[in-house]
Amino acid sequence: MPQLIPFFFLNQLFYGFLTLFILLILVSKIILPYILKLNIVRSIIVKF
Amino acid sequence: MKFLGSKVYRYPVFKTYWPFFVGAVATYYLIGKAQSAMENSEQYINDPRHPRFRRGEKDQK
Repeated sequence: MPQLIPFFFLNQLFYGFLTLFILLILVSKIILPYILKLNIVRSIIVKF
Repeated sequence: MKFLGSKVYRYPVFKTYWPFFVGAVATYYLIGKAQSAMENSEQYINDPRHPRFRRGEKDQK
C-alpha cells in the first residue's frame, strides 16, 4: 500500500499540508464571509 | 479584490493560526526523521527506490 511505504511519507505530508492550507485560505477569506454577509442581510430584512 | 466572481475579504490568517503552522513544520521535521530511520531499516535498505542508489551505492548483504 503506497501510503505506508516510508519513501513517500514526506511527499504525502507536503501535498496534504498544501491542500489544507489552500482550503483554509479559501474558507476564511471567501466562503465564510459570504455566508456571514447573507445571514446579516437576512436578519436586517427580517427586522424591518 | 475578486476571485472567480466572489469578493475576497481581508482576514489575519497567520495571526490567528500561527501555532498550527509551527506544528506543521515540527511534524514535517519529525516525520522526515522517522522516514530516514525507516528507510535505513533492514526491511527497506535494499529497496530499489532508496535514494542511496541514486548516489551510486551498492546492495548491502
